[in-house]
Amino acid sequence: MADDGVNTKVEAVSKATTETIELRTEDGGVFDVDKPVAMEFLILKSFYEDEGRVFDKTSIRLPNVKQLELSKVIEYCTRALEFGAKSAAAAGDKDAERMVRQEREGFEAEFVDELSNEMLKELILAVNFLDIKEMLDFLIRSVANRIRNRSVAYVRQFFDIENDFTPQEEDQIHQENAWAFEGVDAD
Amino acid sequence: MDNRGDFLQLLGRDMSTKILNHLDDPSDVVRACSVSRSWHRFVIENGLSKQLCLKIFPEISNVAHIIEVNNMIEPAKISSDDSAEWERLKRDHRVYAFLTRGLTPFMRGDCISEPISASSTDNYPGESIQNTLEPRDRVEDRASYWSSKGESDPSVPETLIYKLVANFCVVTEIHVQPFQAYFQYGFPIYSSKAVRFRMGYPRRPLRFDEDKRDALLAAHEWMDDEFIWTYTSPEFPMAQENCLQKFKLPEPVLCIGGILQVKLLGRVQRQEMDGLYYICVSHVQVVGRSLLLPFDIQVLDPSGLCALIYQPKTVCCKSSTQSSVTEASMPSHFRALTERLMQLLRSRAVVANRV
Repeated sequence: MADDGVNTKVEAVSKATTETIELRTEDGGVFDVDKPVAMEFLILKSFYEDEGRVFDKTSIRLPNVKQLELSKVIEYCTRALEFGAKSAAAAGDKDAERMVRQEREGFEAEFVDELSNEMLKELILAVNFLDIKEMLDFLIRSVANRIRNRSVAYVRQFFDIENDFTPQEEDQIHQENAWAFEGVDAD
Repeated sequence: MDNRGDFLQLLGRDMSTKILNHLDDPSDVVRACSVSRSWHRFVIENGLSKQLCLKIFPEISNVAHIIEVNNMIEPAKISSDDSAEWERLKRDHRVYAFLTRGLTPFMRGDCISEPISASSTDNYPGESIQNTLEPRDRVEDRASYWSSKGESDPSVPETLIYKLVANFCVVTEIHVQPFQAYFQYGFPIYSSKAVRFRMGYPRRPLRFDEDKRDALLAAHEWMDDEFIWTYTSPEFPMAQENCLQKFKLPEPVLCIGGILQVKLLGRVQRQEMDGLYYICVSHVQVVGRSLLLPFDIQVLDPSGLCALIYQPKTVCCKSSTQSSVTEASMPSHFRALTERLMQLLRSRAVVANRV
């Protein structure tokens, strides 16, 4: 077995085996990730494609990602790939397509519900770093959903933002568009 | 790690813009603008309020140019520094937010509220016009569509009449999906040859009890003059295809009175079993916007004369900046509509003091 730092050329792997790639987070977590899932992380994909080689049992360190986030990311991407396959299989059958869509929506709603505001923010930063387009879109939509129809105080708390307006300035802003500050959801 | 105030910088302009662009209510954008100084700056600098307005009302892109020119006419001082530009951006932010709010109490969407009548129905209630409100052609294991009665003469037309969500709607498109009988041999599609639309208001107020309502939904020969039609569309050919066919009106039409008629002209499909021609529709959708104009329509007598009841309660905005939004900054489109409405009503409306 070649040691770290030495790249080994490997013969083409048969489709039957699922390659895994080892990912290490900055806080010491170690994950064995299925290659198809790992390839959703464009930051890894370009690395592989650039190198032009197939690696076996390589370990990659992810400096900006922590364990908790990575496990969530892997969970989402694995399910996303599954839904993708189910969707493809259901293509043409409107009822089956609808069922897959509903299943996916159910999963996504639950996934996001379980995330604290803090976690949601950390995930966005991690996913942005890993460059996972689909998941990023999903998280962005989820953040927007959390702001939608919420009071200013709630948004400040969610993003952990200090109110740096003077009371007079705030008053003026409120007056300019008073209609916008009515009818928000209770905090 | 202290992220305070830096979330937007942390994620970068593109990502933050993406998040805030997902907000589709101008109130949300205005509130985002009042979170903190950096958010205030971000929302205004990136013109998020304007972007949202143009997203919902692409028609306004034609007039956006005019608004900007008006705003740039500053009395006397033409400086090249930041502050003039900043004032313009702030004004844009306020005006576009207000505009979006004023023009969209309801988002652009399906304007159908309920069906009123079908000229005929083969099997009521299983094949009732009510089914055309449901976009799917199948609900669980039951098919969802309206079917006319069969005719041996393919030139016999059918009409479907709907009530819209408000007395005043601006309609831009109407979508119709004919029904494909997936349970019949050969999967025939019971479309019509062509379709035409009319909009108007009823001569007599529509008030019915349960029985009368059922009768109308099942089969009713409307005499043409039970409604006053203020608009008749051109004829659109319909394809014999199982898809949601979109018929874009030559220009947006103001429906006064909230009644829409779909006339299905010419039958193309015979049912093998009985050799008769049928028309079946799976879904009807009316795309447009309802307007919160402070008017209500009242039909005065069977001849069709109506009055507009003007109710000048505050409709959309209590803000003190109402005065700063002048006639010039309302999109010319909206003004043209209001003018057309006035013209129309002048020809039919009754002066308030007429006995």
